[in-house]
Amino acid sequence: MGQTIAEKIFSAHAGTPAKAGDLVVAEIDYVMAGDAKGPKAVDIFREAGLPFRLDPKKTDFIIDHFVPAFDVRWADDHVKIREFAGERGLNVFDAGSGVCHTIVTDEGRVGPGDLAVGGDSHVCTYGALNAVAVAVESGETASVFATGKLWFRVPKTIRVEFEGGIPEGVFAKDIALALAKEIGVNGANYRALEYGGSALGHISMEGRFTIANMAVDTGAKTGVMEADENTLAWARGVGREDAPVAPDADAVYERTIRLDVSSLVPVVAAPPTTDNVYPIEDYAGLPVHQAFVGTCTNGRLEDIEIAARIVKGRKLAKGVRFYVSPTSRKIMDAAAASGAIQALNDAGAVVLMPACGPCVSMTGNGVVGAGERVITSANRNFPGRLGSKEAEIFLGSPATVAASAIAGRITDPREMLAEVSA
Amino acid sequence: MKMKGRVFRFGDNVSTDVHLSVKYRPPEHTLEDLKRDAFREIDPDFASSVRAGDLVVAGENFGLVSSRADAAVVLRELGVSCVLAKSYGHMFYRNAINMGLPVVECDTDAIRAGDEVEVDLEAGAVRVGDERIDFSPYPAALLTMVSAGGLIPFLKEEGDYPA
Repeated sequence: MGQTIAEKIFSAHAGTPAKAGDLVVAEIDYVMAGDAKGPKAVDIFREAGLPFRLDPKKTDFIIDHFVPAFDVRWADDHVKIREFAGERGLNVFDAGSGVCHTIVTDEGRVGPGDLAVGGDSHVCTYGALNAVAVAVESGETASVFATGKLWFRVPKTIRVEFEGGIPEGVFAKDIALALAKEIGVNGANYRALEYGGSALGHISMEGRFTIANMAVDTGAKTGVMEADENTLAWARGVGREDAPVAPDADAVYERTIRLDVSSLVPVVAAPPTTDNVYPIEDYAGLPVHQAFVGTCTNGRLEDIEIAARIVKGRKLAKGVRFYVSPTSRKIMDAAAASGAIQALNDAGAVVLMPACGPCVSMTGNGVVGAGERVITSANRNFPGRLGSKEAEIFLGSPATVAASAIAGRITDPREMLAEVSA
Repeated sequence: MKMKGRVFRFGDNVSTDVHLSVKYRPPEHTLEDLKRDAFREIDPDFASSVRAGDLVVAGENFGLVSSRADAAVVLRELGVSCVLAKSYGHMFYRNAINMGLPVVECDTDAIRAGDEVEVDLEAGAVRVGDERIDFSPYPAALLTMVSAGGLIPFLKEEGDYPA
């Protein structure tokens, strides 16, 4: 019987053929430890008195949520991380390096065929690199420090086929949101998504990270993409030579979803859930007060540049705050070199340090008050996620966010994009 | 590892909010409070009548939604020896094994409240009367883990997974 990509990766790391439903103990290639859940992993590890047996090159601590530290408890957590890493020769990407998932993919920490875990819901982003990446609890991270391994139940796979050409003004985020609507917030509970299809080749690696990032927002344990030339070029570019993993022709899928991307239009996810997705025209015209381009979903160079193209030579609408956070120092550099940062600044946007920023209220950044409406390139829109439960959070592509920031209202980006291209 | 006991039967989509309903919970609560009110919304007698060794059997999506490890700990502390369900919320499933509560995914349609069932984790078999229901067996490492009381106690005792 054939295997899916996830079944092959779990088999290779467990050293035994595994199929959906099997329980296995697997070798871990990489552990992402952040500043939200990492400190508790350190506590559990220390309290249990476990030996550190993981190869130190297989983990990083990445400080990105609570930066700059706005409360002593976060500062103390950061001290704990630096001390623990220092004692064991572990690498720390400290405040300002960027958002954890961008760093992991852009610094070559994970490559095709890898099995990675990490203490953050959106670890599944690495799936765009043809890897299986799973979010874990702090005790599990502590256990991987001690053993280099973790137990898993091999998930069933839902195959996702992207077909058709991508229309102008439709971006990876629109595809990710359309898929979230199709599956539902918990429709892929404990499943792996496996993405392929003729349209995948037309989606940039940056766009693929956006789509893989939101796998967890359908309830999936992980989302893994087929590898192509673009995947391997990206991997080589970050210093990796891994062999890609393809599914067998007779792999068994729980079901197959075909998404015709040529039929898509720009969309938004309206509150209260990420699957509450509708064409932007259904909400166009609603006033917005805060706009944000950034986060592990959509804070990469092409995201910053599309936002800059739209705002260039224009000014933000009165009463709108527009925050932009390139998600790594390299992306900040590239966006500065291309003139994107200048264009954003000239338009009245505020460029923030590379970090999680105004994505979630726990970061202490850019929270909003009752009655405010947010348009953001982030991945979650639950009431209260960004401060007041009486604020509304809409999710959209960076182009949609930038166009809305200029207009002061939820706005279809296609008209402004056409003007920019003309 | 074998368990034998009486069945408490629940349906589909029993979320961790039902395991541990906030409705009955005082703001400052102990594990004893959580145990007393476990599943009270759907079975008010559960906590008082469950005995050590009994099993909880459910339908689809048992333990949906939250990452609260307490939802598994409460069942373990009430003496529940094993949970059988057709599917699980993924956080609950992992938390259960990590906290030392065996959970099994299998077809539960034929199992009724009050049935006496026997579960053999190593063999991957549930016995209900003359019926045998198969499931993916527990590998040795996970058997040791649930016997030890969960992931961290297991590593404290064993140091590592068996080779």
